[in-house]
Formats: sequence, structure tokens, C-alpha cells
Amino acid sequence: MIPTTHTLRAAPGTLLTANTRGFAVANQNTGMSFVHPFRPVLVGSDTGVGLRFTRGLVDGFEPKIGAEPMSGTLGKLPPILALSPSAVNAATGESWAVLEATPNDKGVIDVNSKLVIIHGSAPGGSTGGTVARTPVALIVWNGKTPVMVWPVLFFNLRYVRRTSDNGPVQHFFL
Amino acid sequence: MIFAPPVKRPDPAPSSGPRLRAGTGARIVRVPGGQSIAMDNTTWHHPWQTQVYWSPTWKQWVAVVRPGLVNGRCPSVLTTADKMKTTPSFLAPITAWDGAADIARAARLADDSQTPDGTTPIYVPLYRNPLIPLQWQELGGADTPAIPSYFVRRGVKSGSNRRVMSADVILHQPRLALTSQITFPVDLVLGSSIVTQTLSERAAASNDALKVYSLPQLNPPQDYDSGEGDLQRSYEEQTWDETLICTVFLVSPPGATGKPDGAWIPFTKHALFWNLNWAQPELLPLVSDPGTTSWIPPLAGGAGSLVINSVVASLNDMTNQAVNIVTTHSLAGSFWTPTGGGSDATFPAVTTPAAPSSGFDKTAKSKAAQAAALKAGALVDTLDPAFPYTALPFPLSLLS
Repeated sequence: MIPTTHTLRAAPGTLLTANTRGFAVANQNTGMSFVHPFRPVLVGSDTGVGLRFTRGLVDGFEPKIGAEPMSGTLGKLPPILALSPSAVNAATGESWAVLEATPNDKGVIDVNSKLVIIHGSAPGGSTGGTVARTPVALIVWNGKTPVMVWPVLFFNLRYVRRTSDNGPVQHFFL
Repeated sequence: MIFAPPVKRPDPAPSSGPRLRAGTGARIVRVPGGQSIAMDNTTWHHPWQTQVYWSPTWKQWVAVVRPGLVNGRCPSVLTTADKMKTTPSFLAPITAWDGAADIARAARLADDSQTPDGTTPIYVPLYRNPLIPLQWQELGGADTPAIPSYFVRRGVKSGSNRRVMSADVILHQPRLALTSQITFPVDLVLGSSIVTQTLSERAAASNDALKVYSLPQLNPPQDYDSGEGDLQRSYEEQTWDETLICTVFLVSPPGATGKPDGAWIPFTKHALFWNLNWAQPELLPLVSDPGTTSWIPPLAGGAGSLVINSVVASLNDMTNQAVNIVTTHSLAGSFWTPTGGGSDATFPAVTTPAAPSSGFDKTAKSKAAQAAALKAGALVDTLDPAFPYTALPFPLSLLS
């Protein structure tokens, strides 16, 4: 019988398991990470396995997952980035969570800029177009199940655009 | 003397509360108010962290590099089917790590009849913990300048008869390279030749990939002079960029001879601590080509043509050189860590609190004692810098 009184809740970095003999508390003691910007965590959801992130900023602005800020809104859990097996790179068994930023005409990210995190089969490039892309997390799959996620970013970002008269636009995340 | 009567200790945990069991990395202490959970304070493993093992199978030292990413991609370790078949320790991570597809692949590799070519390259990503055989160079004894002073303080002294060897673990990134082709077409009509330099890009070999491997020492990049000297000769840049992940040192027991074995002591000195971005400059075409002068009508009954054409050829040479001075630059790429700090990747020093004068704040006391020890130089003597380590700054040349 699982005890129901004094319910425990797992805090970040803690694994809490309830079983018939009580609770087991564990933490990951090898390769333990710290709570840094853009830290990804694989989570289960009603629609499958997805990704949640800690808050990260690009030039001071917070990206969104869908229509919600990536760290959630007051009183609500952070949104989950749905991971679709159809986006997996078949050759490598990998996919990426990618940050897409659309700067304004002057190449500056402002309050009206579109900043979203999406799931894709490529880590994104830094050349051409009006949308700047950079990977946020590498997801490793086993068949149709994501089994491992590696953080790409450990810090908040700054964005710089380089233009030239005779070459393509280059996007850099510093 | 009067002694106080013994006091019955309270029940260590309330019977109505949940019973806790210590899992991995956790420690549970029963106290009068209930139960206290403590987590082991283990060191964070940063990207590119390298661990070194003695492989009894291979009879040599091998390294395992914790995955670091370049532009979000995980580097691989290059091996062959033959090597995987003969080395169970190499094959084990693949078969144990994931599912049916890789187990089937491993089975195919293990079956001679199913493997068409044992030398076919196989790329194993770092997140599958492939083993990297280390290639060593002898640094010598205690009097060798190449040996860090770190080892002198650990017994590598004159007369100790200890040897030190080192191996570099290297990150390899393929890239486009700049090539220069000089031609001297002879114009039979004008009696002159115009030196033409053609700049172009050369792609990396098709089987080259983002990878990690070991060399006795990282080769410095090809000496490239972007000045006028390189505008007068044909050349080809190398089609890759490389940077050092870490240097592994082995210190021998006293009096050791021959190749290093399991009795030697390994140390690692890291050069990378964070994931990387990488980019290379582009070879941009000219907006408007100044062109060259190719034909001058005969003057002075044709007698002046030879002189004039000679001058024109020289002018054309100079025009070509001027154009290439503008367009030529090395296509060597650059690595940087996206720290959010722009071009500056210097982290501030970690502040430590002052020692509390009184009280029971064990954490503050511990940090203060650690700070005092650091100040005294007791803990400064490490091969790696302290957290938050160091990072590679963004190269501003990419914006010019």
C-alpha cells in the first residue's frame, strides 16, 4: 500500500519513487547538471514524450513554445515541446529542439520579434534568409522513443546579424 | 555528585509520515523532528570532460570523452568493423545502449560472413561512450621544460627516475578551403603573357566528418600568410579546423621502462569546457570586376606594340593582385562558446562569503574555509581552472 499522508514532491534534480514500502529518494550523481538557461528535461505528457526547458533569454526576450513563454505563466506549468518521431533524422536517429528568431529590418530582436522553439530534423543553420536558427537541445531516439537529451546552450544568448552587399546574410548567436 | 536521570530519546520518525529509503546519491538521516535528506555533493561533469582508462583488452590507455556539441551536432569516433569485432569493450556500449537496430548492426559486425569489408569506417557518436586509443609522446624526465610544474610537486623530480608522457585529444571539424591557382597564358598575337590568379573553394573529403581522435601532439594549423606573398603562388589550404580538447599525461612509477601500462598514473588537463559554435568566413565575389586590358592597337607602325603590351601585362598582373588582396583571406573557421557575453567569454571570479564570526551556519563556514585554503594556495595547484572554467570568445573577424 502506498502511503498517502505527508505527500512528498520531487524538487529539481531529485527522483522520487513511491512503492509499497514507502518512498525512495534519489538524485543523479554522475554527470549531475545545474539549473542553467535553456536546460532541457524529457517529460511525459498525454500525447507522448516531450521537452520542458528552464527559462532562457535572447537579448533579454524569452522565447515561446507554441503561444506560451517557455518557462510558463503564473499559476501554470511550463509548456511542453511535443516531440514527433516523424522529425527524426533517419540516418542518425537524432533530432533537435531549435530556436527560431526573426529579427526586425535592422537585424535587432525587439519586443515584436518572433522567438519560438520548435522540433526539427536539423540543428539549423546560420546563413541566409530572415530567420535565424540555433539548436537548443539534441535529442537521441531509440526507434520512435526519445531516450536521451543533451543540452546545447548553457547561457543566455545575444544575437548579431551580418550583412554584405555581395553575400548572404549571416546570423550569429554569441 | 548528582547526575541527571537518563532521558528517553524521542521516536526518530513520526509513525504517520512516509517512510523514506535512500536511493542513488541520496543519504537519509533520522532526526527527532522527522527525517532529513541530503544529496551527495558530486562534481558536475562538463562537456568534453575526458576520463582515461587502462584497457586490458587492448593493452593500452584509452579515453572516453563526455559529449560536447559543435553547432548542436555530436562528434564521432572513427573506428572500423574489424576493430569493433576484436574489441568487445568497444562493441559493448553500442549493444547495451540502445535498441534492436543497433543490436542487429552489432550482430552483423560480429559475423564475418555478413561484413563485406572490415575496414569500412564506422562513426560512433560520443554519447555512446566509444573508446579512443591514445597516441603518446615522451616528454622525458623531471628536467624537461615541457613538463608542467604540477608534476614536479607530485614527485617528478631529478633523481626520482620517473617518466612523463602526454597525448592530445583533438576535435576535428571539416571545412571549405581556399585554393590559389596561378596560370601564365601566352598571348601569341600580343607577344605577352598575363599572370592570372584564380581563387576558389575546395570541399573536404566526402568521408571526412566531425570527429574526435588522438595524436601525440596537436599539429599547428598550416602557416598561412594572407599578405601579398600568397598572391604569387599556387597553394591549397587544409580542409579542416582542429582544436585541442584536452591533454592527457601519464606519470610512470619510479624506474619504469618501455611502453606505459596500467601501473602508470593518468592526469587530464582540459582546454574545452563548454559546447561550441563554429563558423568560417565566406569567399565573397567582387561586386564589380575592374577587368583587364587585353588589346592595344598597333602604334608606330607596330614597333611600339611590344613595349606597350609588356607594360599592359604588368598592369594586368598588378590589377589581379590588387583584386585578390581585396578578396583573399583564409577560410579557416573559428570556434566559440555562446556565453551571451558578446565577444567576451571571461567569467567573473566566484565570490565566496566571509567567515561567519559565530553561529551554526556550516555551509558558510565550509565555503569560508575553502576560500581561505584557496588563498593560501593549497587548492590552486590543479591542472584545470576552477568552475566556471573558461570559454572561447567569439571571433570579431567573422563580422568584418
